[in-house]
Amino acid sequence: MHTLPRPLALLVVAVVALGACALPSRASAQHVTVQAGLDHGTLPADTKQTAYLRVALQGQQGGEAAARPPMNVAIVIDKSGSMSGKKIEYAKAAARAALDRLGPQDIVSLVAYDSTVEVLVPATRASDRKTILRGIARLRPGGMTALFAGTSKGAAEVRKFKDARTIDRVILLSDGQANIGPQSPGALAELGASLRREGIGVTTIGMGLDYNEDLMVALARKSGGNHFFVEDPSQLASLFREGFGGLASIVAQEAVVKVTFAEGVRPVRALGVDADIIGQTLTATLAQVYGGEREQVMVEIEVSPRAGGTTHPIARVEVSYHDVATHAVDRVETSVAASFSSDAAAVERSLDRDVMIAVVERLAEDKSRLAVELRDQGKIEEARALLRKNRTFLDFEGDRLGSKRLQKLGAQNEQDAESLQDPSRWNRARKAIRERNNAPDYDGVNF
Amino acid sequence: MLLLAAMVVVPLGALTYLGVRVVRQHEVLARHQVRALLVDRLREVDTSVRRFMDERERELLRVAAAVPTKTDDIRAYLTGAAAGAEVLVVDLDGHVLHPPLGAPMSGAERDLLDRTRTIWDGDALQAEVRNGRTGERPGVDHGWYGYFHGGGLNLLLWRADGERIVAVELSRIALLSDLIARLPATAVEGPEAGRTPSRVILADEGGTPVYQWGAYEPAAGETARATVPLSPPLAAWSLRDYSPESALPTGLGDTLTFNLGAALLAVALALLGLAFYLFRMRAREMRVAAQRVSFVNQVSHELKTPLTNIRLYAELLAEELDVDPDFPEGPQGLDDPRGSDDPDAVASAAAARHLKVITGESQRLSRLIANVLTFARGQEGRLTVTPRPRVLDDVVRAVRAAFAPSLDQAGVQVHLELAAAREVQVDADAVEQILANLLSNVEKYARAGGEVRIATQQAGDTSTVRVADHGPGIPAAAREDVFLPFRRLSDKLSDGVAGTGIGLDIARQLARLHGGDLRLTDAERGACFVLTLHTPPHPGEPTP
Repeated sequence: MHTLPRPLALLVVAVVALGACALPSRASAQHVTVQAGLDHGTLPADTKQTAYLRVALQGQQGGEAAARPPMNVAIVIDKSGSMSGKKIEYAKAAARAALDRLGPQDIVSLVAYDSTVEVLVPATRASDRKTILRGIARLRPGGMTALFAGTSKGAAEVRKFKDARTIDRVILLSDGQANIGPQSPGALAELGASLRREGIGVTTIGMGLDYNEDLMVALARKSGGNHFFVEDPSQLASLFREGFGGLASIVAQEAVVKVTFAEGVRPVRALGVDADIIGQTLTATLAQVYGGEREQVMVEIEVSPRAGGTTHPIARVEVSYHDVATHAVDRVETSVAASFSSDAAAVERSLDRDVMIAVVERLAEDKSRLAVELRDQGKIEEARALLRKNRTFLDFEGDRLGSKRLQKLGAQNEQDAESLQDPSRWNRARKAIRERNNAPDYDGVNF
Repeated sequence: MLLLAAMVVVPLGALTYLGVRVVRQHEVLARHQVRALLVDRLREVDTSVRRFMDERERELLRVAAAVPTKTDDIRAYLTGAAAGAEVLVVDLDGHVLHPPLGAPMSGAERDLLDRTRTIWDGDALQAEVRNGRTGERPGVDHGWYGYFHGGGLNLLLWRADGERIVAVELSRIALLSDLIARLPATAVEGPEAGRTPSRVILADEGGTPVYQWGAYEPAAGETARATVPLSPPLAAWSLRDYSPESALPTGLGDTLTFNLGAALLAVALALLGLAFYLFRMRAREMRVAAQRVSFVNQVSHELKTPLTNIRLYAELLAEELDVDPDFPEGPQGLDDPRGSDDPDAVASAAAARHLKVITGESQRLSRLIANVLTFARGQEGRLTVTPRPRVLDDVVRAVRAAFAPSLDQAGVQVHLELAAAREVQVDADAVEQILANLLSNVEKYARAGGEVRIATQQAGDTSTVRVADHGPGIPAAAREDVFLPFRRLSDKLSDGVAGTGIGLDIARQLARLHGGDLRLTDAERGACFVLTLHTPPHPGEPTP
């Protein structure tokens, strides 16, 4: 969970202040603001260089609750043997908390799985509280963990009432390893991708310290949902309450960001999001934009040498998204250009601090991911060295950019480095890293 | 009693055996039927899977038919109208048209080429198309193509037209997820929930369960009760049904076992009733016979006194007439009075003859009464013997003398071979009664033999009397039966012969009371009774 406060005002001020020289272009639609820009608006002249382009989609904060689209949610709860005792009670409390956040127009279903799947509450209007509460009360722990089947059945319940207006989600809660049916992270990622194509997101919540975070992350990521790590099950109910609030705030779905790069600019890779790069075109699809939150597509690019004092187009950005309030597909187009200068100070002045912070964060995430891989291979020393290096990098950039967020991330990398040795500490740390590295930089909790 | 028990137990046992066999056979049959039922249920599931696959086939065929020709158009189509589909296009010579080999590609396109390499690198799809053209499967221009990748079966739907083959991938994971969405879940309420729990497992080509439903939890290593493979193209997958042993045919078997038990119980009751009825019948016969004896016993007491008087006065009359009533046929030719000239003598001779008859008949009646009274005492346990010093031969002679008239009349010669002249302790009345019964039987049943032999012996404390006749004899099998009360042998023998049927019973009882026995032994012809008696010597006379 990301709890770092990052006041929106600061961002806006920064953008406005740097706007003139960084040549950012902005286009505003009703519920989503699209902003595209480079880390430096002015690039060094006469050299082949790496630069970063960011496309940010800012969801409009708050809004008319009445106009909110109906939510269509399946709550899928692991009721395998390991859930017995307090855990199942907390899960029930969480389900009830979710019910409190749903309005009469929303649809909810409750699916529980162990070795097999039980549809405790088939897709029902949330106003039918009696039926739903009775279903929740029937939740009892049993056998193995058929996670794939549970998710599939949850999706089946969502499909029943799915239409263009609904916000469709499977909320999956598990505390264990899948052991019936497909159970590899790859297979679950494929399931996520398949559900994503239908517009059904899966938000996964890993509870305790025994679940498979790779699997849960893969499923959430590929489906366009988010992943949460909850070590203490007593926090489930508040997580559900907040998470459902986030879900209710969604302003746009299926936002397609298409970036066509100008000649002399080569897209190298996308950072932190899945994107298709074919030739000069990059396409990334964002499952949704939450109200008051920002989605970002970061692209590492290679820019050919240009003469000083010239300005060149970098990319044309087309964004289309489904506005959930108006049910219309909105399109926004903008373009990004860069000026080239031999004056290092001018280049320095053109820094877009906000973009740079996001870039640093993505790069640090990459290293952190690599460190996890090394640790998985048993290369503890290499992993530690990498995390320490990452810490130094984050500290340096944090100071340079004046970002508390980066500094805190640096401290976290240090803690992670210290957790490498002890298996149980590492287990906890690994889950936290996987959660952190796969969550967009949200302010709140968004299911 | 044993016979009666057998009468109930044996048929009951036989019925139980047959019943159990019927139940067994029924169970086997029921098991078959249940298995057939389970297979049908699995087939139904397969039918819904097939229907689903047909839908997918139509859907993917539509996608395949609409795939444009140019790469950019294909990409637009696959991100727009047919979002999410992965499509491989090859020409009829096997060249890959899409994804564009050698041109910039997306990661997904590269992955598709990687996992389908064995298909486009070889000749697989072209072979399918040729099969359609050359007649092996004529007229077929589309179909499923299965290939192994990533540890499992994956499917492509291919469609050929004049120039190219378009293959649309059906992701294994997406297929499985969609199948799961279609297949039943474990019931939590409704009519299904109350039924006998079972478990159906969908297993993939490796036999690994990929999805299952039903509340029953099979044990590790439990075998499936029914297995049905899915229809092509998923024929490598199978559906398996697991149900608890107790839930299957025994439901029927229980009813049957109950019915069988009820039937057996009914039969047992009927047999017991029958046995009881027969037992009652026999008991009543015994009671009737006993009543007869009891009646005769009472009457006998009443008869005894007048009979004694009749005998007394008959003997007095004989003295007055000066005839010896014990020797009715003297050498004087008394039985032929017409041979005499004297009318008085003639009259006297006739009177003497009549008197002899009276005496003989009253003696016979006395014996009969004595028998009945003895039997009654035996029944009441009051029968005793009182040995006194006597010579056994004398007793035999006296009996012979008493029977002489009737045996003579029956034409039976009596031969005596007496060798028991010592005085011993013996109850003469008992011996008389025993011998009287034996001779009475000879008179009744063995008169055709024409003679009876009575032999006595003495050795130590034992005296033996042997009575052998030349009559029809007694079959070896019936030798013990004759000693039972109210038992007479064949009707043929008893025809026209009167008697109470208690003579030999009391004879043996008396012999046993006397420390001996009465037995029927082997004889060359006729019957031979051997009476042994414990006869200690007279205290005054030493044993020789």
